[in-house]
Amino acid sequence: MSGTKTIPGDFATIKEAIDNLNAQGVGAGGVTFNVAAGHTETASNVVISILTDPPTAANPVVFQKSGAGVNPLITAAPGISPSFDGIIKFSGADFITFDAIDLLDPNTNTGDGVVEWGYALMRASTTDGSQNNVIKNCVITLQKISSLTYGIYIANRDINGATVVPADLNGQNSYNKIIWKHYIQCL
Amino acid sequence: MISASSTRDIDNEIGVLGETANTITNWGGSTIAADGIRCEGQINLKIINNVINGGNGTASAVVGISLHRSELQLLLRIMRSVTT
Repeated sequence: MSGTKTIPGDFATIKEAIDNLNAQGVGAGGVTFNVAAGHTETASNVVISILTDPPTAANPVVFQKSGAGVNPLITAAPGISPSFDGIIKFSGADFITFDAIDLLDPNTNTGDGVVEWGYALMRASTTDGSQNNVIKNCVITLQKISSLTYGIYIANRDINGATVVPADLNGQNSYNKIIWKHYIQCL
Repeated sequence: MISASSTRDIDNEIGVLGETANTITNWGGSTIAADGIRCEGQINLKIINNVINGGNGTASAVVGISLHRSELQLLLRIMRSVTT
C-alpha cells in the first residue's frame, strides 16, 4: 500500500486501514492516511503489526487529521483484560506517525472493560521493538479508576503484557518521539 | 517509558522545544502512587517542555517526572518541564 488514502473514503475507519496495512505492507514512498476532521469510530486493541514490507525511513506510515475542525477521535470499545487493553497497540512497529488523532476511554467502560493504554508501543519479540515512531498533537483521555492507565505506554512488554527483554538493538523501543501539543488527561 | 536494565532503549524524546508544551493533567487520585511521566532503563532520554499538573486526592506519592533506576539512564536531559 502506498500513496495517499482517505478515511472515510478508501477505508471506512482507522481500524480498517490498519487491518489492511498489516495484511499488505507498505510500498515505495510510504502511505499517508488523511483522516477527516470530526471523524469518529469505536475500537480497542487495534494492533499494528506489519510483518511483510514493513515501514522504513523511506517508506513511512502517517495517520493525520485532514481539514479544519476537531481532531478525529477513536473511542474505546470495552476492553477484555484487567490490565493490558489498549486502544492502539504497536507490536514491533516502526516509522509510524499519529498526528492529531485523539483517543478516549469513556466512563461507560467499567471493570475489565476499562482500557488501560492509549497508544502502546510494545515489543513483538526480543529482537523486534517499536522504533522511530511519532505521536503528536493528540488528546488522550483515560479513566482514573484504574492504577494501570497510561496515555502513552512504551514498555518492556508485548501487547499482551508479558515481559520481553530485548536481545539486541532491534529489540529495543528506541528513537520514538512524543511531541507538540500532546495532552494526556484522565476522567 | 520502561525498558530492561540489561538492554536499554535509546534516544526516546518526550516533548520538544519551540512548540506548545506537552500537557499531562488530572492523574492520580487514589491511594496508589502516581507518576506523570515515568521512565526506566533509557539512554539519551530527553524530557523537554512538558507541563504536568497532577489532580487532587492522591493519598500516596505523586511524582511529576519519575526516573527509576536513574543510574542506568545515561545522557539524561530534562529541560523546561514544569510540574505542579
